[in-house]
Amino acid sequence: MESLIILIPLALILIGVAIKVFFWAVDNGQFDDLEGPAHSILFDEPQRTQIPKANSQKDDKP
Amino acid sequence: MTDTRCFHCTLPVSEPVVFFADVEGIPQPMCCPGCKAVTEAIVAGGLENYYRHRTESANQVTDLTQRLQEELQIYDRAEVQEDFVRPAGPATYSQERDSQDNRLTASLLIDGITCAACIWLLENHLEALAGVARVSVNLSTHEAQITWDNSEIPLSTILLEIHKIGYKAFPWRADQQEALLKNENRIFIRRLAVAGIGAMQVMMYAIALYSGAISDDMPDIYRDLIRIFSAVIATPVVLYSAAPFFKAAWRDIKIRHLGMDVPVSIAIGGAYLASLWATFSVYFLATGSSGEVYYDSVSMFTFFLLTGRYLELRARHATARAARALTNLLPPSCLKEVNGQYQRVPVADLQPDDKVRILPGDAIPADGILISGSTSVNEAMLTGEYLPIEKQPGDTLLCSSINVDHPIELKVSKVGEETRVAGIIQLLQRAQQDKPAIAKIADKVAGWFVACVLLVAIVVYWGWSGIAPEDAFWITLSVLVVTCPCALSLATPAALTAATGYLHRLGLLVTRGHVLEGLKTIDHVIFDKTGTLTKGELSLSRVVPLDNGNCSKEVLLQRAAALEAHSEHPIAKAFFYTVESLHEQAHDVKNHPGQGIEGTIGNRFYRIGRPDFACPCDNMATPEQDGQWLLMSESTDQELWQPLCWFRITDSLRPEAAHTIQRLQQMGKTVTLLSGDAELVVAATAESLGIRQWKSESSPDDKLHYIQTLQSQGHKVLMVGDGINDVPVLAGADISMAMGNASDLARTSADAVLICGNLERLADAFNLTIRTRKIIRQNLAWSLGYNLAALPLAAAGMIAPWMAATGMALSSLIVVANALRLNRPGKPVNEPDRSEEVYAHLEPGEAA
Repeated sequence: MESLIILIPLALILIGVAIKVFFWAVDNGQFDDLEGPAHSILFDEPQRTQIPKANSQKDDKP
Repeated sequence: MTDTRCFHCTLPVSEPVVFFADVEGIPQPMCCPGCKAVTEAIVAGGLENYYRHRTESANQVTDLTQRLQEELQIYDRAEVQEDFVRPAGPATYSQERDSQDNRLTASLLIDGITCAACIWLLENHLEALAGVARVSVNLSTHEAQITWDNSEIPLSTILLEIHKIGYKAFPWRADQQEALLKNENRIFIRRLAVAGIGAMQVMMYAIALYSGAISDDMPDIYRDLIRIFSAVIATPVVLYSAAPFFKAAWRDIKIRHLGMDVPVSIAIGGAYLASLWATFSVYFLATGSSGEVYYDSVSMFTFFLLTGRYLELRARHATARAARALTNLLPPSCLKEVNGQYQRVPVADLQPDDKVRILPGDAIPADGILISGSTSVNEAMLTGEYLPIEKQPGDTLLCSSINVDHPIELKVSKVGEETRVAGIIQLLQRAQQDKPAIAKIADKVAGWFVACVLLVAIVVYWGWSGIAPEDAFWITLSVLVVTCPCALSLATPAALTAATGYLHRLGLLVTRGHVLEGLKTIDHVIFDKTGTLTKGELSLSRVVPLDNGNCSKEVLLQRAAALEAHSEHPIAKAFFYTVESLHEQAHDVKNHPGQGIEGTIGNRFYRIGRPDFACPCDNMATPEQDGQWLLMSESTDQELWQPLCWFRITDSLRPEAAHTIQRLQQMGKTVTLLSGDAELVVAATAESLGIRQWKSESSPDDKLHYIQTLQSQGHKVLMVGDGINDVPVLAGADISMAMGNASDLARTSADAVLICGNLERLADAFNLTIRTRKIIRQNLAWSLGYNLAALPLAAAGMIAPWMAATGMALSSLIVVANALRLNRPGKPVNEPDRSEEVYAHLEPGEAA
């Protein structure tokens, strides 16, 4: 039971750290979009081929 | 009703399918050239994966018009970009400081995002463009940050690419209000975090305390130690996380109105103080232990309550943003006279004494004086008066009011950002502040409820202090906690916000609060034809010159186009698309709504429109029985009109119209078609859609009269329209709905805007209101039932405060979860499961 004397204050410090980290994340805007990032890991990266500019402008008119 | 659906927007396609686009080698049906172009653009970019990942269908696409391209080019100018573009971030900057750095970052608001796959598509499509460095899109706020190299690619091309894959982009000015919302959101998450982490920790200690109490072998010293540390953790939860409740309760008390926050605060504050007393009284009271501690209940309750409030806050923010997005749709450009010619320029470019030309249906870009042409102007945005006001040369026109009848020229006197903003703010406030009557009733009931609870609590305290004084406080606390009407207070708003949010995701933007509630009483649905039941993209299918004329088809077309250039009516667009460039100019053009246009070209008078308008004396028969025919006539004296030429205009029905009307009729609504078009056309349309009641050749006045007659018979009317001529009717109907591509005026005067242009959403909205009502009733019944059942038990001292707190938090959660069912109804009704079709052509294994 004596270990409580150490463990409980330790838990208190951990809570403090957790809240501090959380606040830091909030201030960094990591909670501004709660939906997008959750999905984005599911998507494959496409083979990125740069569309040449001339080509992309050719089909301006649908 | 066919089962073929557009591969891109999943709207039904009528057989035979005309448009196809190849996706991974398989031709897929397309409903229109717009969707085909978008699909091809997506495939060309190698982004077919979009169709595999998406969970919601895309919106139907409108064509990239010349005007849109002109408007987008405005955004290339440095002075326009000032508002929403800044040099790219400092990190990128320092790396390439030596080279000429042209990197810029723009904030854009993207319209048309439906699910996470849209984000993927946008980011990958844009990043593949040469010159675009980085794109990040926020799914919650639909905000995009785009970093690009200005020397390689102009912003207008990027914007055009966004339009090309089926979205719309607007400059996003992160203003004070937006910053406020962001700040509010962040503070709320902080409070949630403190409450959540605190609650978890305190509950862990509570388990130790409970097990110690049960086995009865915990030394007092450890019990006291755990209690003290629980108090340390619970204190920030109460003082920081629960602060909004205390503040709101204090405000309620000051204005002498009993809101939900009063008993909530009494419960949280009371339990906290009582626990503090139980923890620390040991040290200065001779009697030793005194009562239990409830830190766990307090923290958990705060956390759950905050969670409910946070969901509400997010829904509220989403609505606020949607309303602001609506104002973004107002045209940011106008036609300014430069060296005798009119050019499209950004509104911000205007200076006092500039001359501006305003077409019918456009918003007036600045305060000024009318110098040529007479018209009527709708100032509803500023005054709330929906009827247009006649304006003559010399009259003052106000910024952000809308020109209704004729093209006019305006001399700018004030370039008041303020005036325009004032109108917009009014619009926003209306959207945000309107509270549905049902929510008001709930507020009122809650006031009484709270008063009763407080009264009962006092009686219970008084009663128990006679029987068992040492238990009186704890029992009173139980009563307060158990009867806390937080579930009751969440019941209606949670359901309404969930429903509004879901409708917005479907593409139906509700701008006034009474819509959701009012829809249930509607028994009559009235549609306008052009642009509402039909696509509104008219095209010219035949030109029949009459014998007595000696002009060629081309000359006739030119003159018709010159006249129609002064109109915003969908018919006018048919002429725009047919005629490449205008060689002649029409003057003194007058619009006769529902009839036609007249004006002079050279020294002759011309009229184009309905046969009885173009040639009032002759009773001309149309060349063929069916179809919509316009007659053009000329005259030298404005008395004797010579018929010149027939034009046949065709308009295709919206593919989903027939099914929507069938669904509405199955719901027991009477559907009526009111149109200004000729009888034959309207009759044919009504028959093909299964509408039994229709009225043709009705002027705006006739339509309004028709609605008022229905209303006097006790019917409730929903009007769906899109044109300027529909505005009086829209204002007169019980609920009005404008199509997303409607004129500015129709859009701002309607109660709801169908942004996605899919009529099926209307039927979905009816379904949703029925479900919303059901869920509100369930919520009210549940929360009232729970409170009433638990109250006698608590008053009898049979419920410990911690049980009360758990029950209360659970009841709130049940209410919120029940309301959220509105938000995720699985699939919209009557929409087949697309996933099968989408996956069908892909190799197995890849789909995962």
